[in-house]
Amino acid sequence: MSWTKKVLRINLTDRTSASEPLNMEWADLYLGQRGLATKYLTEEVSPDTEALSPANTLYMVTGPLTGTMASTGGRYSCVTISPLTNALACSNSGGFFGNEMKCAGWDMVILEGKASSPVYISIVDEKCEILPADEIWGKSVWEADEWLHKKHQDPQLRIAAIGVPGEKGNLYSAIVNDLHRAAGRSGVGTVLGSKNVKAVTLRGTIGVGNIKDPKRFFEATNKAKKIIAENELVGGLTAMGTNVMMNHMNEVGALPARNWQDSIFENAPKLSSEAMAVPRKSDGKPNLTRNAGCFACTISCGRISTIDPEHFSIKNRDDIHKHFKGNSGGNEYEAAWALGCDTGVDDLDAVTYANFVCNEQAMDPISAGATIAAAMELFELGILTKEDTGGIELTFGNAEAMVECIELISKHEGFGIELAQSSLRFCTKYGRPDLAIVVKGQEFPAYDARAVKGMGLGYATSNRGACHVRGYTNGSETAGVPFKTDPLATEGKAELLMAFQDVTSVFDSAGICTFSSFAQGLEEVAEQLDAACEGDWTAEKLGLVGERVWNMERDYNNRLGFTAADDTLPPRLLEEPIKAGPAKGHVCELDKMLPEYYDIRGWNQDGTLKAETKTRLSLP
Amino acid sequence: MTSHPVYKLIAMITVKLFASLAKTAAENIGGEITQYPFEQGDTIDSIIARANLGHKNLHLVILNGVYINKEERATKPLCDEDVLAFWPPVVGG
Repeated sequence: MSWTKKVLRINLTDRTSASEPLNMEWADLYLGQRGLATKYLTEEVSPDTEALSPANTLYMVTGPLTGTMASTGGRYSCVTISPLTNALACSNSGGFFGNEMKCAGWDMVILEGKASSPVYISIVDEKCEILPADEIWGKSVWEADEWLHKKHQDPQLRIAAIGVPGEKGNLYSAIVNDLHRAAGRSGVGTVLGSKNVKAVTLRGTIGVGNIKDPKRFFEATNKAKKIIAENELVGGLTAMGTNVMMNHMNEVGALPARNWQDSIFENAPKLSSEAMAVPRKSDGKPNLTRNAGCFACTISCGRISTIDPEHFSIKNRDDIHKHFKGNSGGNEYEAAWALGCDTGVDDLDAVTYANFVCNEQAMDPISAGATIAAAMELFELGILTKEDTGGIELTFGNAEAMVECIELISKHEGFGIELAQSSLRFCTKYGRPDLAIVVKGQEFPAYDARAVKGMGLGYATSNRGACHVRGYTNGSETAGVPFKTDPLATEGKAELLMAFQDVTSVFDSAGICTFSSFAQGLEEVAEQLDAACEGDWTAEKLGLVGERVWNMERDYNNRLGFTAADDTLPPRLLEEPIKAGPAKGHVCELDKMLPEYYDIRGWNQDGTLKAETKTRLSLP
Repeated sequence: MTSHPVYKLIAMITVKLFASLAKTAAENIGGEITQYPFEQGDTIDSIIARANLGHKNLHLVILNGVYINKEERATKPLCDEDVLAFWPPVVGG
């Protein structure tokens, strides 16, 4: 019963809202969050829908364990058709927004149509209001957050909002909640902006009290929490954050640098978690102040950081938000890599500043950094000139140039307007689409697929474009989690990836964080779900749910027009061998893995689902 | 001591310590790096002993960029200029 069994459907065009029952037949098949909202989308949104048209729908959705005492149960997702990829988008965020939605009595908030002028949605338990947002349109997330808290006089209000980029059509705009947690990827914020919605505010006082067997749930969640708390890997995340991977990926020669021209970044240690802990000369404080946790999290991998007060990005500036001169959300691995290694910038404070800007204005730091990196390569090749950049000397390693680009993108001004169209469209304009390191138009994360080959297969087949959190085979390939495989081998990677993809689909659909899967497995998740919800949940049933969700997403992408030809990698990954390190001479041999992957997925070699696969998974 | 010019003439093994294994200090930005003279017959375990790291949680061992199983630490022969990197249990994303 842990679902509230209630959906809030909002029609922005008519400015109406209505409560409707959750489809429990679908909940049994697709569980919640990612799986369940995607099912709704596949049934309600026509595959010929333009991502930024009013006909697209945005689903803000929780899972059955969201808002409960299950460890990491603070997750929610934004599901829609992506303007960046034109494929399915599902972006997941933590913080405290998801649990507040559940506490207000809703499993899901569905946003349809388009408001005729800027609005924000206020939800207080069962009451939903569509209110004018003219005063905060054009403001940053941080400014909007402050204004909304003041207006409603409620410090407990939870807010998810877009910044200026989301209003202006930047294709990698995020939806940021709680100031620095983000549904970051695939331009979900762009969709919210296209509907003229600045923010969604939530206040829930109803709580999540509908647990099927509270005593058994208490025991199951306590057991899982103990497993997570005592897990050494998770302890590393608590202490060091995700950026602990920086030195690791560099040592194994799989840290892409300078738009993937290199696979080792000589100055990566300067950007690492270890560097974030070293006190600086100016004020004696380290970059890292403390860690931070989302709702109900046993891990608390988040970073809270400050920028060196003497750094050029903030010194003598009174035109920036006060948070830039205090503590705010610090560098995660992906942000530090994209804004740092990929642009060749080794200035920790410049990268921290750029990451703060991405939080303040709700932009995906991976796509933002990677787009700047692609522009830097075009500049160094002489294809892009200072005339194009507005005078910016856009060379790799130029921290001032990277910061200037981030600011221009965040304000949607000058050269930033060009960079806001993402790397594929930008590089295509200058005649070099091959320099956009993307799959399905989405920029790559921080693992070189020539040196970690399962990740290459994962990028190519990811239903939302290049992504590391759809099937994190790197855990096995370079860190031995849960068992060690050879990162340079192609054999066995199809099966390994499929297992990771399906299990991740379950965690993303349950309302819990995928990082908890480093410690707990489907058995533990099933015990918790079965105690909380009707439906006789077992690990076997969950495994099938995961596979069903993955195949449903694939089938819908096929209906959107994607084919096997889209399951590929940029030429650099397929043809340009790595220059140095343990993977020297390697490319990603996708052709050796993809046919086997299709085969074990039960797909035809054209990438479509076989009829028997659909039948086995109860897919329409 | 190992920064003395004479060590440039001696075969060396580089040991890198990361995450909680590294001492946080201005000279260790991004990890702690030390060099040890290479001796014929050296293995990963012998370097661990010489570096007095036996009591540490050396969960992840990377030799010249390549993962080394626990079972290989006692027998895997090292060479001059090898780079050994150690981490406690870590994972990210």
